[in-house]
Amino acid sequence: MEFDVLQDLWRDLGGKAGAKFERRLLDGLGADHVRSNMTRLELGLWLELIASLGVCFLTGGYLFENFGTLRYAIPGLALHGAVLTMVVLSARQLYAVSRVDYSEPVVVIQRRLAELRVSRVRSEGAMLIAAPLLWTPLAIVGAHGVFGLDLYAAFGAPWIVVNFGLGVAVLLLAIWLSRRYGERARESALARRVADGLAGRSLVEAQRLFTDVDEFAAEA
Amino acid sequence: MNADTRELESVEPLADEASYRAFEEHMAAHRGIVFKLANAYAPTSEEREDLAQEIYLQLWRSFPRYDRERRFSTWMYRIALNVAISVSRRAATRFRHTVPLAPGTEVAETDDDLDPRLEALQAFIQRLGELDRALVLLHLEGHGNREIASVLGITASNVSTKLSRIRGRMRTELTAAEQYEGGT
Repeated sequence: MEFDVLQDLWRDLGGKAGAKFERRLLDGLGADHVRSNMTRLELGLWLELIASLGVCFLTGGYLFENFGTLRYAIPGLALHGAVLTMVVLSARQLYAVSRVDYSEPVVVIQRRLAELRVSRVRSEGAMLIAAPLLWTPLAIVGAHGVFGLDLYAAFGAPWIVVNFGLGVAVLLLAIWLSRRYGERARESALARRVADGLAGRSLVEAQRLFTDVDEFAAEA
Repeated sequence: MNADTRELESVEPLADEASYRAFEEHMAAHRGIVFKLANAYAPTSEEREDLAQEIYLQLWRSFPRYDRERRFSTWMYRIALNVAISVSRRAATRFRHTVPLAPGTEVAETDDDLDPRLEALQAFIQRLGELDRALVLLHLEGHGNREIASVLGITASNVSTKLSRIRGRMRTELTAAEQYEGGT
C-alpha cells in the first residue's frame, strides 16, 4: 500500500463530522462544567498542603509545649516529622505542576510529567507505610493533647510496645498480601491502588514512563 | 498561575471577545486535527469527547501566551499531543486499576463508510506506543522532519530514522492485512 495514498486518505479523515465535533467543542469552552484534570490535581495538592500545614501547626505547638517530657516529645516528634514531610512533598509537587507548560516540546513535558508521577507515587507509598506505624504515636499525642489523658499511665509501657509491634506486623502482612494477591483485587479500584502502592508496582509503572520517554528521545 | 485563577478562566473564558475570535480563526485553519488526535488516543467515544474537550480547554488557556512570531501549528501540536499522551497514560493507569476492555471495543469514530485502508491505518496507529503515534500522526499530516523534531523535542535525524522504521513496519502490517482481507 502506497504511503501517499494513505496520507491523502488520512487528510480527508473526519470530514464534516470532525468539523461539527470541533465546532461544538469551541462553543462549549464557556461552560462552567469544563474542568481540566491538571486543575483537579492542583486543587487536590493545595488541599493536601493546607490540611497538612494545619496539622503541622498543631503538632508543632504540641511538641513545643511538651519538649521537656520525653515520653510525649518522642511521639510528638514522630508525628510532626511525618506531617512536615507531607508539607514538603505537597509543596514540591505543586511546584512541579506549576512548571508544566504544555506548549513545550512533547519529550520535555512528558519527562516532567513522569517525574511528577514518580514523586506522587513515592509520597503515596510513604504515607501507606507510615500509617500503621504512626497510629500509636497518634493515639498517645491525641489522647494527651485533646483529652489530657496519659496512655502510659492508663495502659502501661508494654501496651505501647505491643501496639507499635502490631503496627509493624500489620504493615508487613499488608505488603506480603499486596505482593501475593494484589493483582487479583480487581473489584475495587482503591484496594488495587493501595495494593499496587504497597507492593511497589505503581512505582515500577511510573518509572517505566521515564524509560519510554528516554528510549524515544535516544538517537536510534 | 494558581489553581483558583485557572478555575476562573475555565468559567469565563469568553471574556475577551477579540482573543476568542483570533483563537477561533486559528483553529478553523487547522480544523479536524483535534478530532483525529482524539481518535488516535482515546478508544471509546466517551473518552474521545473528554480528551478533545481537554485539548481545546488547554489550547484556549494557553492561547494568551502564544507567541505570534512562531508557527501556530507547532504550538498547537505540542499542546494537543502533550495533553493527548498524558490523558492516554492516565487512562491506562486507571484502566489497570479497574476492568479490562472487552474484545471488540470500538477503535475509532469517523464518518460513515470508512475506507478499509483507512480503518487498517487507524488500527495500526493505535497499536503504536504513544510517542511513536505522535510521530506518525505528524508525518501523516504532511509535516517535515524538522517541524516534527521541533514539536517532539528530538533531533531531525532521529525523526528520520524512526519514521523509516515505522513506515517499513506499516507497509508490512498493512499489506498483510490487505492480503488477509482479500483472502477472506
